[in-house]
Formats: sequence, structure tokens, C-alpha cells
Amino acid sequence: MRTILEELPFALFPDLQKESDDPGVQSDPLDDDLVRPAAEDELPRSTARGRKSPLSRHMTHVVDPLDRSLPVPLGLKLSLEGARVTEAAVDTGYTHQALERRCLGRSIVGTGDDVTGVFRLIARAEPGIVSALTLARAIERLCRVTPSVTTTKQRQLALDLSTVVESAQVLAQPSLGADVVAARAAWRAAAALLEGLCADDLFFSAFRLRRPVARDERQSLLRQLDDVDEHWARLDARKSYAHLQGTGVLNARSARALGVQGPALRAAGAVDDTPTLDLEAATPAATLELIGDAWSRLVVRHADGSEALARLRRRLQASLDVDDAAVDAAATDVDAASAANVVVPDGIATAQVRGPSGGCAVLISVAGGKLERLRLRPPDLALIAALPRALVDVSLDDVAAVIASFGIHASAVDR
Amino acid sequence: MTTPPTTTPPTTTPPTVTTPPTKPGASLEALVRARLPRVRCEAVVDGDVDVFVVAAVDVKVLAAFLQSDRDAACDAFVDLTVVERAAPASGGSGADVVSLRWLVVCLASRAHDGRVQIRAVLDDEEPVFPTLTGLWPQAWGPEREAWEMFGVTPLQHPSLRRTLLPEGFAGHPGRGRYKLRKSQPQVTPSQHPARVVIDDVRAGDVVGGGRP
Repeated sequence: MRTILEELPFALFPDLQKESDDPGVQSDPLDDDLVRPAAEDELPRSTARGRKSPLSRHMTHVVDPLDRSLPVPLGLKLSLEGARVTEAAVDTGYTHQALERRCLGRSIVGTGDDVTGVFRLIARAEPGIVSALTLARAIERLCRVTPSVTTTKQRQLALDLSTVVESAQVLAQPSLGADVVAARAAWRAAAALLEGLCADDLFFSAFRLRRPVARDERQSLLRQLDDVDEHWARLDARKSYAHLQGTGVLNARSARALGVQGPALRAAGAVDDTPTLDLEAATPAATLELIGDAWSRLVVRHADGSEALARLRRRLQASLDVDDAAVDAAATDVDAASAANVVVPDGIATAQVRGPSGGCAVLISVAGGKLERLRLRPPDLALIAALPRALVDVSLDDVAAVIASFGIHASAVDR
Repeated sequence: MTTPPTTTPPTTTPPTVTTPPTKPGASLEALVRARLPRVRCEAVVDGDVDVFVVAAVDVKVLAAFLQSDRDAACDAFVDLTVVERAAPASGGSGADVVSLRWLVVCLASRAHDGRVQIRAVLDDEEPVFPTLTGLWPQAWGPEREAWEMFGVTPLQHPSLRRTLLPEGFAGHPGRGRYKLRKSQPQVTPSQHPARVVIDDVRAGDVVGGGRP
């Protein structure tokens, strides 16, 4: 998750030393937690990645001012009774990446730059690998192609590793008010592994990977998981985030009504039984003792990460126990269904992947081998919709922590 | 389609027989035709997805049926979006092409692990459809986004307001005809309503520090 400063390329904080020397010289002293663009007449007109695009240039929706403890640019309007929230309204949308719009007219046939470009664009909606895998499945469904077992298993490796990264990322947020050193170290280690695994746009293609994940790569990945395990073993979510027990409650009924999926739904004691017919990042089982508070959501994230680590080890070990010749033979079978041989029909196709934060769905409409429409529906919009309910009766000091416990990606909401 | 038989339980012992729902598939079309005769629909099985093409005004009726009918059991709302597709213009030469906005509603069945799509062509002059928020509250977000980005209106939506675009934004950027280089009014922080909240806070309310 990027920080507020990365989302707002021209943002700055008031200089507290200058303020102390001459109060009021820069801005009101009450603003020391707030972030504003540098100059009112030069609003950030760039995308969240710092690049300019024609559409995003004028689709900047300002929700200033922002509190720097928030993980994503959200405009919060809180009604308070003393220091407790009685009502909350949430506004979102700062810079629009126009991911869906920019994919229009691009080809999805073959392995050229156009196709890779589509995958790279859609991977900007975090978590990128989940979006990319969902798009790949949608294209395969449209073409009635079933990827080989090898391809599916290797995609599952990326999905499991993505779950570890996501879980650690959520647990590592400073606004949770806990010691996040171990979580941050686990996040960095896992993120480096995922970056290595996804190098060379390995998963940015339909029907097959650009190349199979080699045996030595899988061996190396298995060894390097020890680093992640070492940091992960130091995490004790139940104890570290105990101060958030009972706050920010989103019960099962509200969660279902709002379409919340994934860890936030399971943390409310409900089974995540949203139909997902493609890949899955976590089991849908609920833990009945949990009541949907911020602590529960973090405990579930920790459990998801632990389970994903264990599953990743098992799958990697199983893949190393298989004869490489058999793997190569399977890869050859995949070549028979390579993009060059597949006829891409006109039509609409959908796919769903159960990602670390919930179900991710993609819809594509194709005509003449080119995209007429690409629709990406990550689970984060439902999480944003849940915030007003979860923030009721929360102490003002805990608002940022409750928001952080949901693990919302701004770039997934603002596409 | 044949309806699964039910058994009448004996009067002296508690009933134990239950009728399992019919798995959707080729029979789902027949189910809809039999139980919703007034809805005209064209049904296609597209891979493992049952697709129903209906008039926009019938979208909610069909969706409600699919949700509530025990045999259909499409209780999960997956997504709602608009797809703009080129089609030959009616009455024109073969070379004339128009852009039609299609409403696509994606549903799924937890019981049968199946998927259903409802598609409807929206009128170009008055692109409206009945809101599905009464059936699935989580449809509010996708419907609102469809309204903002494609200019289609969900009738009787409980809270139709901008989510992604600032007030004063002209046009619908999701549409193919939207010019990417079109200029738009700029919203400055001083004009943004959020500033009003901070002014209220400064008026003397006692609040917490809001620090992490």
C-alpha cells in the first residue's frame, strides 16, 4: 500500500519547526496532521504513479484535506458526540487512473506489446497479480480454452505469495497503533519474492505463462521463504492488536448486505461462500468466535497469511517432487493451445478469482480480437461502502486504525 | 422442463423428504419461460454461463425471479456494468454502425455453483433501467458507477450521487465517444465542500487529536 505522500505527488506537510518559531506563519497550527497540495492553482494532475494521461489529467477529484494517518486518500465527514463518532460519510476518488478506458481498442490476441500493455494496465489496480490472473481467465473462458494443470498450479503459487504479501502489508500499517516491525520485515521479504516471481511479465498472458517457472527458481523460492517465516513467526496478531477489540464492528448481516467478501466477511463470523469458479487465494471458512471488529479482521489476515505460507511450501515441495520431464511435457501440451493458434471469438466473458481481500471479477467484451470493454471489479468498493457502518461509535483516535484494518487499496477503487 | 416430483409425507411420521433444486443449465431457460411467461427473453448458454437477453424494463422482474425461485437460486450478486457494443444501424446501409449500450448483470448461484447473466439493450435517448438495490443492496455502487461513467440511469436508486467524478464534470468518460482531451472545470480545494467541515471544527468543538 502506498503512503499518502506517494498518492499525492505535490503534497507537503507544514514545517513544524517553522511553525514553532513563528506560529501561524505557514498555516493554522491545528493543521499539523493534515496534508494539502502545494499550491491551490496547481492541483496534482497526474496519475497515482506520477505519470500524466489525458483522461486522468482532468478527472482529479479533490478530497482535501486528508489526514496523514489514513492509508488511502479518503475524505471523511464525521459527526461527533464528544470524541465518539455518531455518523460517518466517506468520499473517495482523488486521481482516476482510467485503467478500463485505456484498455479499449487494444488487442488481446497473441503475445505482442498490445496484449502485454493490457495486462500491465490492469495490474496497476492492486493487488496487481490478482487482476492480471482474473483477466487471463476471462480471456480463456471467452476462447473456451482450459489452461494446463501446470499453468494453473504455477498461477496458484503467485496467488498464494500474493496473499502473504497482502496480509503482511495490512498488518504492517503504522496507524494500527502497534509494533509493526516484524510485519514490515515480513512484507518486504515477501514482496521481494513476489516481484522476483512475476519478473519478465511472467503471468501477463492468457492460455499459458510466458514461460514455466523453472525448477531452480522454485527451489530458490522455497529456500527464501525461510526469511519470510522467520519474520512471520514473530507476529502475534491476537496480542499485538488487542487494543482494537470491540471497535469498528461490521457484523455479518451488514457485511453480506453490502457485498463485502474475503477477510472482512469471515472476520464477522460468516462463511465467504461467494461463488468463485476460478482460482482461489484463501479458504472461505469462517471463525465463529470473531465478531467483525478491527481486531477480528487483523486476526483473519494473519491466519490467511500463515495458511498461504504453509500452502505455498507444500505446493512448491510437491512441484519439486515431480519429474521435470513430466512438467516439460505438460508445458508442451500447453503450447498446442498457445495464443497464436486460438481463435478469439466476439462476445462477452467473465471470470472470478478469490483474491486475498475477496473476490475479484473481470468482464471483457471483445469484437474483432480487440477489447470493446474491460470491467474490473475488485472487492475494495464494497469495503469503502462498509466504512460508514464500521465507524459508528468508534473513538476518534481509533478511526484511522479501523480504516486500516479493512486493507483497502485506493488504486483498486479508483480505476 | 419437468418439475422434480415431491412426495407427500405420511401423516403419522415427521416429513423427511426434501426436493433438491434443479441444476440450472438448459432447463433454466425452460424454467423462466414456464414461470415467467410475460417476460420475453432470448436465452443462450454461453460456455457455463446462462445468458438471458430481455428488455430493460424486465431486468428487475427476471432478476427477482432468479433470486427467489428455489430451483434457480441465483442469490449472489456479482456485478452490474454497461458494455458499449457496435451494431449495424437499423434501416441504414450495411456500413452504418451505431453504438449500443448494453446493461449486463452478473449473478451466481451458491447452491448450484453456477452463473447467470442478464443483458438488456438500453435506449439511446432514455437509457434507464429499474434499480436492483431492492434485491441486492450492494448493487448501489455498480449502479452509481454506471450512471457516472456511462450515463445510464437506475430508476429509483436510493442515493444517486457522484462517486468518482467531481461535481460539474460534463460527459461520461466510460463511453467510446468521450474525447480524452476534453477539458473539464477544475475543482480547487477552496471550492471543495470538505473545507466546510474543517471550518466547523475550528469553531470550537472539542475533539481528539486524531493522531495514530
